[in-house]
Amino acid sequence: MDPIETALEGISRRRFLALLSASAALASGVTSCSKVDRGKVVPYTRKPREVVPGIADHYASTFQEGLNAYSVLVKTREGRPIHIEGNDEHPHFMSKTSLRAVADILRLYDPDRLRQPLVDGKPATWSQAEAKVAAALKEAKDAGKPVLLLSGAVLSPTRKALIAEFKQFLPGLVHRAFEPSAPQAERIAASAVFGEALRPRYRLDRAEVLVSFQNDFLGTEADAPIAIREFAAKRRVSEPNGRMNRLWVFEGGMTLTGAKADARFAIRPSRAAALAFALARTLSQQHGVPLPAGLTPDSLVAFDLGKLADELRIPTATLHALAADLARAGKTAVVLAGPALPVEAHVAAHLLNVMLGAEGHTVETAFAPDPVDLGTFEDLRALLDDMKSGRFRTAIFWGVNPAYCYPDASHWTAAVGGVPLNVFIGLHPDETARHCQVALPEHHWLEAWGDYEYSTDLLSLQQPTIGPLHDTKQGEDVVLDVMRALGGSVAADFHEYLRTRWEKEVLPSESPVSFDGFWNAVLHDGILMRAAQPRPARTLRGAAIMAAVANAAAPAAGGFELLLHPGTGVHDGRYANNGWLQELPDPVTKVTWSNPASIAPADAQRLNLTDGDVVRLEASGRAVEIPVIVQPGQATGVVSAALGYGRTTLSVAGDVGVNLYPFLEVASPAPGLRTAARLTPAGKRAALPQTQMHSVMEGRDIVRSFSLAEYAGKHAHGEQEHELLTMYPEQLFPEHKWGMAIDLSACVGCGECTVACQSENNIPVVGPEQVLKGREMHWMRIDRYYEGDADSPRVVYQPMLCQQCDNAPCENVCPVNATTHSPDGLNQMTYNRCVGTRYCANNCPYKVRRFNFLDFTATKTEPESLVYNPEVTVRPRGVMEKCTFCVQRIQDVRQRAKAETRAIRDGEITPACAAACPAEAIVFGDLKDPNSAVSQISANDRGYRVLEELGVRPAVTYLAGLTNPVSGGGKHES
Amino acid sequence: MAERAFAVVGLFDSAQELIEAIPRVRARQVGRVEAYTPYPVHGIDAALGLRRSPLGGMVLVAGLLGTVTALSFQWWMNAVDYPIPIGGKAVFSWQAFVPVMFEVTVLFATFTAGLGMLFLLNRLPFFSHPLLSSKAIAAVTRDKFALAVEADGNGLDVDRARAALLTVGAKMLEVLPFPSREPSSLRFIFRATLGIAAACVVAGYGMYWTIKLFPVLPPMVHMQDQPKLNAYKASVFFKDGHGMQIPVEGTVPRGYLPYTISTQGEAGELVNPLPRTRQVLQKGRKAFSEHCAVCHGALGNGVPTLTSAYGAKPANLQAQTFRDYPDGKIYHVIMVGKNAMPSYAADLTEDERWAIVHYVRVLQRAQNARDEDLR
Amino acid sequence: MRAEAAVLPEALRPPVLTDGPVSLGGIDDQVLAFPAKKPPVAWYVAFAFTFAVMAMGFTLIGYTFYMGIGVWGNNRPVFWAFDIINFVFWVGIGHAGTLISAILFLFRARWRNAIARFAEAMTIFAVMCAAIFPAIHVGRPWLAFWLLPYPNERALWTNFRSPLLWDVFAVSTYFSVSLMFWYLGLIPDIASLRDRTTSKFRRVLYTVLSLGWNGAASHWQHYEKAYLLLAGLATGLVLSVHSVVSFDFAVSLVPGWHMTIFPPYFVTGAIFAGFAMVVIVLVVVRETMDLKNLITMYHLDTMNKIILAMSCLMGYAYVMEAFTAWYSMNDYLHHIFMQYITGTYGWAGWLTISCNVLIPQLLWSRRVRRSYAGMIFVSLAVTVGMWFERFVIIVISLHQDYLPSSWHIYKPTLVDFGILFGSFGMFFTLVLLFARVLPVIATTEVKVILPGAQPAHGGDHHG
Repeated sequence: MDPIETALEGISRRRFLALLSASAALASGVTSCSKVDRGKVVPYTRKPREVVPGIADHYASTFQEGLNAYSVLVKTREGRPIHIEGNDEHPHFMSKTSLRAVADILRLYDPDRLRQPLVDGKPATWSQAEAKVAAALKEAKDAGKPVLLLSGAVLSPTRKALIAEFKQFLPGLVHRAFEPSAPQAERIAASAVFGEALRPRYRLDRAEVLVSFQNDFLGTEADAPIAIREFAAKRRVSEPNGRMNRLWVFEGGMTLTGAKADARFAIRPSRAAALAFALARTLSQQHGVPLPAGLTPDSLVAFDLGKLADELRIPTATLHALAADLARAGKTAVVLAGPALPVEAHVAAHLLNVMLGAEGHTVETAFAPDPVDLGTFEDLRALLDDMKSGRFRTAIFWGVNPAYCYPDASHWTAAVGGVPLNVFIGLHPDETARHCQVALPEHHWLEAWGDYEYSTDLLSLQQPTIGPLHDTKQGEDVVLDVMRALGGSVAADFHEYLRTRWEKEVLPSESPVSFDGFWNAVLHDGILMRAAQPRPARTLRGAAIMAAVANAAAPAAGGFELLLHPGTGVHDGRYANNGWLQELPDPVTKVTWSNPASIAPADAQRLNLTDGDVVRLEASGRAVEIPVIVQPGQATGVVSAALGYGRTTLSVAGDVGVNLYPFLEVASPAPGLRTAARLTPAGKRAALPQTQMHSVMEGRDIVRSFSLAEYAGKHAHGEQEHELLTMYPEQLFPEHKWGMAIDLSACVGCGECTVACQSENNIPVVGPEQVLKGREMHWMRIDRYYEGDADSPRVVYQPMLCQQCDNAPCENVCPVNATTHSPDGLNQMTYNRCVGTRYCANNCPYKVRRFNFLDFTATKTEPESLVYNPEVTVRPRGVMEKCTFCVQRIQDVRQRAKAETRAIRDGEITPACAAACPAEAIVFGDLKDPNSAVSQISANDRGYRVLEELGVRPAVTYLAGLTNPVSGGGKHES
Repeated sequence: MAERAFAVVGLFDSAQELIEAIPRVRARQVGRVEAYTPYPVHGIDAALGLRRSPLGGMVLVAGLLGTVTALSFQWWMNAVDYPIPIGGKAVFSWQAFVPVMFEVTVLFATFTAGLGMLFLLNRLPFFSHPLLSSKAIAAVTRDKFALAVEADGNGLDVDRARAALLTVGAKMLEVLPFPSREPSSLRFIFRATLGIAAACVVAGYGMYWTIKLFPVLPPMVHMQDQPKLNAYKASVFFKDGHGMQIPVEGTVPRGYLPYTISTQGEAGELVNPLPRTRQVLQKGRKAFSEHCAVCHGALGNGVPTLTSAYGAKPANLQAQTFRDYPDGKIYHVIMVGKNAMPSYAADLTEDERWAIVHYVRVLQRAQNARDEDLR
Repeated sequence: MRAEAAVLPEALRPPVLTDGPVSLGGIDDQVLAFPAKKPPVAWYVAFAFTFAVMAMGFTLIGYTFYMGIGVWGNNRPVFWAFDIINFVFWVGIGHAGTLISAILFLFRARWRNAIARFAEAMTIFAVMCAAIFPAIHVGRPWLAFWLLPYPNERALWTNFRSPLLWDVFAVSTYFSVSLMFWYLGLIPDIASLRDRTTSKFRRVLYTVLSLGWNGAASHWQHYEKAYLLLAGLATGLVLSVHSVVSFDFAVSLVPGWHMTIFPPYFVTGAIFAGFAMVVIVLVVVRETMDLKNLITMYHLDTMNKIILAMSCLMGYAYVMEAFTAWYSMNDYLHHIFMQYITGTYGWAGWLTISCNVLIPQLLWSRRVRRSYAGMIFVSLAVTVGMWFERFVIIVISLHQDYLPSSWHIYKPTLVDFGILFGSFGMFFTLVLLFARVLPVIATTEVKVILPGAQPAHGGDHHG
């Protein structure tokens, strides 16, 4: 245990640091009374060639989350990472990345990190700690006793090689990779149907018709950044007769994907398989789509589309329209089954994809990476049994947290009890570390070396962007040290190990350049494309289908169906200590700092529950008290909630939300889906810190959206815009007039812009109490509105940021000229002039101004404050703040252009939100230049400005959202 | 004593009697007649023959002055001295200036009315007015009405004055001596102004020190010290105390491929990517004179501007060996250094290095010009 | 003239402004004696209480100063709440004083002479209370002086387009003018005090304060002229001040604020609330300081009639608001108006209407107008109602504006209430002090209106 950690138990870190810094500030204040202390200048002793103080560097690196390796570009200032974006060289990510990757920079500077090795909870040196481990392993080796190595998913070829080598030194080594959020059922189904558990890459850029069964590929799914980009590219339609994809969604709880659907239907997830099989049958019988060999239409006789339509209360015509739509789309269709669904649903999805010919076209496995030796919860149980029985002399937990995410806590405790020496290698003193005699602090990925296999034809490298902040080592180095201690002659460190392996294995034999040149080039780009043999097409096994058919036929038992999915921000709980992600509103519920259980309006009415009521949730012998939130669009009889909350350690994560891992069914291949759950009001209430309390537009013209057909109808839409009269002289913008266009048809509302903005602009985290009061500080927020009835609502999203109005109402009312207008059309905020009358915020019709009601920043000390962007003022309390269109980026580009004596190129300036937006929905540029992208897009006849009747002349143009419902089907038929 | 008298005062019980008495006393023409009453008695100014009060005119002028002042300072501050575009409105948006104009008008007018009346017209304060030290005053400010015959230019005949008052029925006659000094509100105003000025100075200093000391105490910290690391800032966290960290060995940032060429031979293969344009050469000259000339001399002839004192022997770039160097070799030397010369890789950008190479060529050519160059 | 007076019907006959005969000297003995007397125990108790409340208020202000506005309930979108409500409320209270001393003076309403002094004092104290709030409500109070257009090292001037800056000028002007007005009125009385006091110290003090006033007819002439001019200017001022305060809202584009009716509506409300406060205080003064013969039931009755009239005007304003909301066909405005009466804070809307419009209707009855219980009840109701009217205007309008996504509920904290009560504590502390130190009734002005005081006009004062 970290001594500081122990000292802080019970006290919130925020409060502790508040006291600390208050006293410190007082001290500094007193000492520097006569004049303000201006600090001292500390230059480089030997300036590195690649660093120019004040100018940012960018490093290509790679970030692993579970089964995904995101290739990223890390922005550093003076050798210190401050911001993360996607790697622009990567052919699939294309400078986009996951919002959790963007936010994970905060974990690097997390003060809660394990800062030095701990032996029996006391600080120790590395030599001591490693000696203890080595001794134990040696003993185990001599005694021929097995040793357990439980690690996270291994996507790194070199790490794989290292572990293999480790096995040679330690024959008894048992290695298991474990990821709590790994799609178990999907893998099992794949291996059953095709014989190998490959993770296909869904080519949404080729998909015209998408059918999702509880698959949140735009939200919590791992490939979201790529999926969103490819999906959104086919929603960005600039003229009425443009081609646009169509999304059908059948799901239990409302997800981002469901929100974006052209036709969405709330069903019990357990019935997804049956529905899919029924579709297959209809396709083969009525649309002549051949069934694969070994299958006859009567093998699917149990599934009748009509019957299912009645059972699921969906118009039969609609389902037939869907079948027709699929048949029409053929191989350009894609069917996705969600990871939470049982095996049979995935099998059915595979069946449909194969029938339609999508397999191999929109479902691509040609270059899928080798399946990692990944364990299921079942495997983990087996291992814990072995531990309990004393089979292992030593157990090493490397970057995993079974103590938290293994459902049966008692089993876990018994298991660790059965092992003489438990070793923990990881970032935080987390639940697992507490059970380990030896805790070894690991590098954050921004401090470490590595390589990853995105696909067999695409490798990416990971390079450190800063030296270790604390007395930590990268896990691989620990392994090397141990191997050395076991008498092996191995590389000095993993960096060298990595290079030598690449020189041997990866460097093309006929490479014209030296290895150094090759290696540096790959480091520079971050990725290596290489020729690879495509895998043979997968063939479907009829027998597997038949097995699934049997399971799918019977309707599920009564009671609630409990659907557990990883949290948008905290994922499987590994980011629970990240304030940015905790405070990032859930895209659907807009709840922060909590994981309430979503229930359907009908159920809420039946049980007489409202938002914030606490219920007692019971399933498979476990029970927990959790607040509910009434979720429009939730399927009746379905309860869904996020995993990853309810951590018991760490100052931010501790006691936030409820831990739902205990509800996972270890034995089931689909542990995330429980049937026969029970819900009983607990007669208590809990506060739900929501960033949006009101979700109806009240018939106001705020978010415009219409179907493709309607678009064709109101093509004359543009003329309706009436230019308002003004008493003021026309403003002249001599050089530029910055503006933005946001395409609501592309935006899926994921919230990545919010995180990117938070990272770029030093936006503080305020905590749940302040969010409850309505004081969150996000400059960029995503408004979410429901339309239509609560059971099947339409959901629209609208990114809302400062509109940089030409006639800004906020400016007129500021008595001290703290907010003024710039000659290039920016609505500037001069923090140091602001005295905080808050009048500007009252007068802002968009309510995008944020006020520092309390001091949210002064309590930040290093290392926490190292994440701040030096280019942006850190605002103290009492000051108003708001979006600036990332003026620091504008100035940066402007200075470069000036130095190179050239004009600013269109698209050269990208605000953080635009750069991060995976849907590429946000376009920024110069409105004075008629050829600039933003001018072109703003001129589109879908374009409109929010509340323009007020005459404030916003500089942000929104493009009305488009939907593509099938005519004669879907719920938007009008 | 009699001649030295300032006035003779007599009291009446009611305003009625006073009013009736005044004309009769005035008719006697013994001196200036003045009345002292507990409250304003109407019609008395007519009876005493006082002129209309000029206050109205003064106030009007002051008010207009206020209006003009307000308009002009608003116009000057917002439209002339520091014009800032605000909310798309004109820098001189007079409509918005009206309220302040009104308020300042009223302010000027009221103070003129109040203070003007007291100081200028009534010439107060006048603490040594004889009446204040008389017996009569207590009655005058309470419920009695005093009539006074006061000395005009040619003194006062006390007896006639007394007689005049007695005949109109005034009681408790009293002779008042001349005041020790003339009423002088001007002196008062002067002193008051001095006092205010002094107060301003004190307040100013107070303000100065407050603003100097106060703001650095929490919570009144301005944004002068933010919890972020700018370039060149010290850090309490990193062990070396440097906010600026050295990138990890072996990492490659975008745009900075490491220079892996080790031998001059290989370097010779490199070709100068920059064209020989005027801008490039100017860039080269700038960089050369900033970084190279101190040793190699402005002409690159090894005659240093600075280092000769230290006995360094910098290379003469005009020497044949260097003129025969391929571009890449010169570039290599800049990158890695040679003999005593350190590497300049960190101090020059890629472009600057190659620009210097071009410029060195120019120097060499200039020093060894051929005939056709001169033609 | 006296002859005519005899045949005039009772209603038109000039009212008797004092109960029983009062002599010129008698007034002095009655009023000017107080400063010399030792206060009764009750006074000390009251003072201790109000002072304690004031102290609490200032402690909480200090707490806010150190911690930040976050200790209040203000949030997004309700960036203004108690702070500005209290400001508007207190500025409003002040208006009664100026109205009584200035406007009624111009209207030759002679009955105001007896109560003018007290009303003016209350004006000054109320404005002092009001002035606190703009200063403490800003996020960085130690920089509040940046609102003053003074030459500074930032080479920056203030923005004269901002209504907040108009406030700065309006309120400061209002305060200094009221002070001037009040002091001018005091000079003759202080002179009387000077000439009746026995203590040496007090004599010197009063001499200086009265600037050596000696009641010369020539002085009275200028004095009256000045007083008349001041009354005229103050009348314009008092109407402008609350109009300017209302611009804070009317000039903005917040639905429910952006209305042309606001200036007259605010001025009316201000006078309304002010009179109620004056009535409450007068009743107490009249009883405790035994001034029944000078502050007569006739005065209170007249005050109550004005309150009644104002209440009807308020009713009209509310109706006009409703009409505007409907007639403008402005969706946002309509929504906000419905919030006034049906929303989360609908109760506040109804409380306002009942306290400001319904309850004052009791004053139609002469019995209520002339009973302490009646007038105190109504006046308290009006005070509460007017405070809540500002709550309705500010909080309800803000908490649901244009984008439903940012709508949010507002909950005040204990600190909010503490500071509100603290301001009341300060107000009454000052009132109590004033009542013991200075003449609570303008004796000179009362003398003017005593029967037979003005021989020139048949004994009656017509100015």
